[in-house]
Amino acid sequence: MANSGEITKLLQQGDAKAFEKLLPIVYNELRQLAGALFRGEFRFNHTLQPTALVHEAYLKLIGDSGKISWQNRAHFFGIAARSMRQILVNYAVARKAEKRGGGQTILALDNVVSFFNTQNIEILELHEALEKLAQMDEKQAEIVELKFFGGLTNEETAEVLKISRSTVKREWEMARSWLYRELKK
Amino acid sequence: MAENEINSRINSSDYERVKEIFSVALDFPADERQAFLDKKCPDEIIRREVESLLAANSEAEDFLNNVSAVQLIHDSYNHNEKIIGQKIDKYLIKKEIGRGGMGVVYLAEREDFQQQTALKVIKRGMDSDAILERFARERQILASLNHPFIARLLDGGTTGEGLPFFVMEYVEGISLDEYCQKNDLGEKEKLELFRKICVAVIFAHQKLVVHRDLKPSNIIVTPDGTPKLLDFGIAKLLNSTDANETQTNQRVLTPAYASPEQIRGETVSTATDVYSLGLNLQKVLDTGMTGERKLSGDLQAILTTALHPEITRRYGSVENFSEDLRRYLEGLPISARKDSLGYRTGKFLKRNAVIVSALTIIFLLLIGGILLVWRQGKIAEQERERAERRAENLRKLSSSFAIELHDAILNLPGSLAARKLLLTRAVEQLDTLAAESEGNPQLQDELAQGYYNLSELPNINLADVEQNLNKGVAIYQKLLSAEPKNVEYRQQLAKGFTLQANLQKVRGDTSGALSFLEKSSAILESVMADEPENFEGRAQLRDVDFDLASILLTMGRGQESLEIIRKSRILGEELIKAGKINDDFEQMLIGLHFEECKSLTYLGDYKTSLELLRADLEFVSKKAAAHPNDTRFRYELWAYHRGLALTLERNGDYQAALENLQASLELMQNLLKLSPDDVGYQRNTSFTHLAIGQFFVHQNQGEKALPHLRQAVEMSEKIFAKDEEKGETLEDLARIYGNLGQALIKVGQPEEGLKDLRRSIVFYQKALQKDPENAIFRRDFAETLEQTGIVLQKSPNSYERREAGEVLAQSSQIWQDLQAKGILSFADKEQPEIAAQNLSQFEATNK
Repeated sequence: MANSGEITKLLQQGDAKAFEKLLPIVYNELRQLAGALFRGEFRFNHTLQPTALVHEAYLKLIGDSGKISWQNRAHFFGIAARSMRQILVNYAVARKAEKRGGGQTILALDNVVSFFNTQNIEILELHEALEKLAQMDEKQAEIVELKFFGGLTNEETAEVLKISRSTVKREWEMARSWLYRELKK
Repeated sequence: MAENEINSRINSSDYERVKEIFSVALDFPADERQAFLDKKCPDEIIRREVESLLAANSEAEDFLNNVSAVQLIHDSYNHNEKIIGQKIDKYLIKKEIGRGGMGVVYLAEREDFQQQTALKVIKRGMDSDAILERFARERQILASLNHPFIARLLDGGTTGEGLPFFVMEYVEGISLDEYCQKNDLGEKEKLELFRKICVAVIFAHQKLVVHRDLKPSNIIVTPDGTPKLLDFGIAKLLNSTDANETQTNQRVLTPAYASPEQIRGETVSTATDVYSLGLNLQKVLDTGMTGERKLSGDLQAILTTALHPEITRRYGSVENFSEDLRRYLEGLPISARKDSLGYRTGKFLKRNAVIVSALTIIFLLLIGGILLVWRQGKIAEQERERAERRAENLRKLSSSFAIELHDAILNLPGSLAARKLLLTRAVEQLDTLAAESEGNPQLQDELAQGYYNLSELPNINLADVEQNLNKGVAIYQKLLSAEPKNVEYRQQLAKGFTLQANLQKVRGDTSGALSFLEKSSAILESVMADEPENFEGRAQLRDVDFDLASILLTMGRGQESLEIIRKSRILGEELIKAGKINDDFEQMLIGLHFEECKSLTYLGDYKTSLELLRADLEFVSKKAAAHPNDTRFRYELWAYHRGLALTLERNGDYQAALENLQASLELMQNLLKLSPDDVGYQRNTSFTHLAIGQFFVHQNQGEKALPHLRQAVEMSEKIFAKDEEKGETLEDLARIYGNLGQALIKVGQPEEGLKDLRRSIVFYQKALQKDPENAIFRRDFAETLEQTGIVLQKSPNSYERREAGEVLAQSSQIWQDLQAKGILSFADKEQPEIAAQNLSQFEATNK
């Protein structure tokens, strides 16, 4: 597994290749963190932020060197959001195929998946709709991924995508409408 | 359809243009957007796409806003951290098992019963006070939803933080759609399972409870394939019916499974559940592992009818929906397509392929004639349709009316006068509809059921119950005079008679109850003769047999009682052997056994009775242990312990008798704790105290009898104060005071004792005016008279000694009469002799 130096380097590199290498690392970290949370083996340092999980993964992977550049953080957020999406989609697929079990991690995710169900959001359907949206408008799909799966605020999303906050807001509103219609069909 | 077409024609460069216009249009107030689009959007395709997205946007409200995956994980962590291992009221929170729009569900254990429950904490932001107030009002109804396919609501209250919570039976299982997928159920199996779900919903509708939120996560299937409906009635507790609170309404609902009228914020009725059930069925049929998505025309027609956006064109009830599914399963024509001639013919051809091929030639010869008839029919059809539409509207009105009325009555702050007024209005309404619908059997049928439903409303007085029952029964009698062989009407008429019998029983009129049960039984016997395979009729008849046996025994006719019950039991056992009936029936056979034992004990065959009772008690205990949350089994256990106690006492095994009595009291007290407002449980608790008190009186232990009898007095007086027509409770009071008097005399308080004995005698006389043929009650009276006479004859007061002579004579006369009629129990066979001796002794010393 890559050490924190390598990870920092990959983050700085910030291209598609680096992204591909980082994705499984962040994915594993997040998945383990979600599990550890529910086994009570792990406690948040700052429990008030929704993105604490992602921050925590970041700290664990890269360390608190005090010099976290905003670009690195932005890249990391992007990867984390993608990971989060992947974790939930994989879980939803496994759940559908009735490969349940796997202990506490599953429970944490179960909560999320079933919460979405009650909100009428099927993770898999949302995922598929998002793929479709990406074909129309990749940026909008990315915004949804960051905001919804990654839990990023409009500011953070703007930061990651290097666009203005008002653009984020505008695109988000349309993406939401498009997805809503798509899922309602 | 049209929308899909547009989408497919939009490419990513179009999307850019759509985005531009959409974003600007969104900044305009809704009513100015059209004008803006007129000006700025010449392209028809783009415009329609923008409009469609704008519409979606206004509907989407908070969709995906303020919620994210990481946040949810984080929240559930935070929440779990705090609450697991803590106690809410008397429930220990074990773990989180679910989470939904209305809150979080935990597995929780009730300490005193070690009962596993599902405890649902309603999330902050909902109107806690209103929810709790509604809960207090509805509690009794919800607790009465006692059905094997419905998870029972057990308790409710507020958490330390002031959030409402509800406690429900904990059900282990998976959601309906998951279950179907996992077990790869075929269409037939799915439909059969679905029909079971319908049975539960029908049951609840009969109790006038609409679910309102039937969605896959509320329909659980246990590993043995039993469906269990969760959250029955909960949606209503969370939703206000108040019009200005519709916003809250919509948030609690699950939009994907909500009916159009719910989304519009209109009145909810049973049709709402029909719609949601339809959606569930559609989903289940859609997600088969086989991947075949094409449904047959009939099934599609059934779904279309269930899912019709207009209530009046939907199935009128879940029963109709379920019935059509049954017809579909059996290859019969369904009502959803009954109007199409081609359809009927097709169905006929399919079912009778052989006959048809032989008849083809004749058919062809006749076809000219058929076409002519068909054309004439077409003209008449327009007339008919108009009439039917009107009738249908009326019908919907009446069935949803009963539900609304029920709610209205419950929501009243307890004023009897106001309740009575409302009930009068409701009856007037039904009366008007009944007059208007003359000549429309379907509507009349529904109305009659409406009257039956009204008669079953809680807390209405017995006189009103009777009136409504009479009206319902009269309608069925009239319907039957036109269609004497209609099985459904016959069964409904029998139901009416059974309800009337129950009413007479509560009134304390045993012979009145008997005559209604005999009518009911005769009808059902003839139904069974016509349709030996009619399972519902069989179950109905078994219930009537059960009541008949019980009433006959009350009248002292032990041998007849035994014969009826044996006949019914043997028939039931044969059906089980033939594999024709399910578990539930087996359970009810046990009920028949119980009546059989009562008769055997009465007739003096204690040995056989004890053997049967012990075997059955073991069976029921096992069932109760396997289903700790099913109160039916605990109720059965109560009855068995009581029955055993009585037989053991007669058999001289006093210690064991007492143990059983105590066990029965504990069971009933726990049931009452779960539903403190349930009058039935209240009565049974009082009754059990009486039984224990009586036992101690017989054992000469007045001190031990007193607390039980006092408890019984308090409870029964309360019940009687609410409705003095309840002769049954008057009879309980007569017995309680009689025993209380004897107990007081035994502990050296003769004056108080005598007062209670005299009060008891007054009650006995009053109750017997209405219930002269209740043999068991009369023998209890004779016993009380005798005990009173024994006390009075020792009085220094000559007036009281004369009174002693009168009561001893009366007692002796009752015993002689019972003996002459041959309705004495085996245990009492010496009593006439003893009473006669007592009387002659008294006369000898008081010459």
